[in-house]
Amino acid sequence: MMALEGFRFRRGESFIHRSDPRAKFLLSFAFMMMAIAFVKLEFLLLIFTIQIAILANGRCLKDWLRSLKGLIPLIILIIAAQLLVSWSWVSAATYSLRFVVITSTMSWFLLTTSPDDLGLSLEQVGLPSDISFAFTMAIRFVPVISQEFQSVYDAQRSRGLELEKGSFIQRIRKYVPIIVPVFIETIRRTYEIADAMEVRAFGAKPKRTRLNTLIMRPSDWAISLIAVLLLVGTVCLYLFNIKVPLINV
Amino acid sequence: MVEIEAKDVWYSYRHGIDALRGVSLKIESGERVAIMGENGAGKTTLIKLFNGLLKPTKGEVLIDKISTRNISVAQISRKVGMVFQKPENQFFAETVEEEIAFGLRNFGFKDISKRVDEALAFASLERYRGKSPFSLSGGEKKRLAIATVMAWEPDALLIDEPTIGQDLSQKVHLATFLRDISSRGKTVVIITHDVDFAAETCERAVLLSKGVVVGDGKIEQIFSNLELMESASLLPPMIVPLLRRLGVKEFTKGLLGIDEAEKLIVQAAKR
Repeated sequence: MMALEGFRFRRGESFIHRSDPRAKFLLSFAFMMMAIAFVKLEFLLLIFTIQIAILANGRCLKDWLRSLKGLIPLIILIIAAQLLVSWSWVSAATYSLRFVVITSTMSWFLLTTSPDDLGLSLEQVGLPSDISFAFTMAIRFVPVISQEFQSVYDAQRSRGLELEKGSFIQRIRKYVPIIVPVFIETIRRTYEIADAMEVRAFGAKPKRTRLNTLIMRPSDWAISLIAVLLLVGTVCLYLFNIKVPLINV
Repeated sequence: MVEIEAKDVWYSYRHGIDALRGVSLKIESGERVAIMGENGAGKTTLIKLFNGLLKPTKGEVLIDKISTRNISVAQISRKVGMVFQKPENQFFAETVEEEIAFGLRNFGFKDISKRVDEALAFASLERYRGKSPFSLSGGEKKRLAIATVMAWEPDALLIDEPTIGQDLSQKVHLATFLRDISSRGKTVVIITHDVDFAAETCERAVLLSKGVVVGDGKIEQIFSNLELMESASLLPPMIVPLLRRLGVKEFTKGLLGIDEAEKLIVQAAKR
């Protein structure tokens, strides 16, 4: 569950915290697309460095590192799979770095964007408010579910469950006693929340008004412009199969 | 037989909150202890340390003189069983029977079906044997949660908030149930806000406040010390301030119950 720590919003006043969520989303989307399109170690290292700078600006390096620690098993799995397939350390490093870059992109975006702002930006982009609300709720409940996972895990450990023991298949099966209670509790909570929302007249008026609205500042436009340029560049290089040294050669 | 001891235990959560600040106490085999205190006093943290789920940041928790740092949760749980506040947090099996068998299988018991039968009988849940744990009532769920642990007969039982959400008859049933457990020579440690329940089931009370033990002793002494109770944000049983007004200075365990208190009140009325 440590892995989820790096995707949980932390309040802050940094430049990146104050930037418009739409602009931030575009930028993180651009990074993600680049990491998916170009599998080149040097290029990924460059994106990675930029991400570190962003995380440092948001003062959330610690949380990000913590989530990275939680992802170590997956990273090892990727390295092992790459070594097995290609027997090359470069490709093992490249693919694991690509994974880190993609998760870090989501990480800095979610670490510095409050769920409320996220929902607001979705709505302002034109999504129906029901859907944006559901989206906000989903993010809002990640830490709750993660906490619940921990308590269920504790309860089952007290009943003698030892996840560390047994073969790979046995270990996976051992997750059943943890996942089932978490699922049931989550579904039950969903119904409760739905009721609680209904008694507070959710959806009574089809058109909702907002107390706060998001406004793009010049710096937000600049971020968006950079992101769009990066995206266009990525798509062009990819579609027309243009080879550029250090990016895709 | 098991002995639980905390030696100057400190525990800090990752976000920097000191939940326990130098707690020392010893729970002898067969004792019935109520751990009480305001919300956030560190009660749950303390019993999680007893069970090895948490390891002390500083100091030591010893189970039969062995530090919890050196043994796994499963090893400790075999001796010191723990029942969590929300029974739903542990149910996953399709039937009540299977739910009880889970722990037994983990600990490698051979006589599983016999133990399941015993646990079902003990918790008066025989007729739900084949039902889903989720179909039980709140009180039954709590009893099942306790039965799932009792099945492997740990020497001590830690129960977090046994009376939450229970109606009167369920509480009465639970109190008898806990006394039964204790009469089998087991140590029982409960966390509760319910002073009447604690008075009925326990002989010793430990009061925690802001991570420190502020009171530890016979339950009647603790409950009749109104200043101490207030400092831990607890309301004493109603009978205590009443008897205090009637001039009672020394409290006995019996005085926390209706029968003995009644005699005193009648005497006072005659005067």
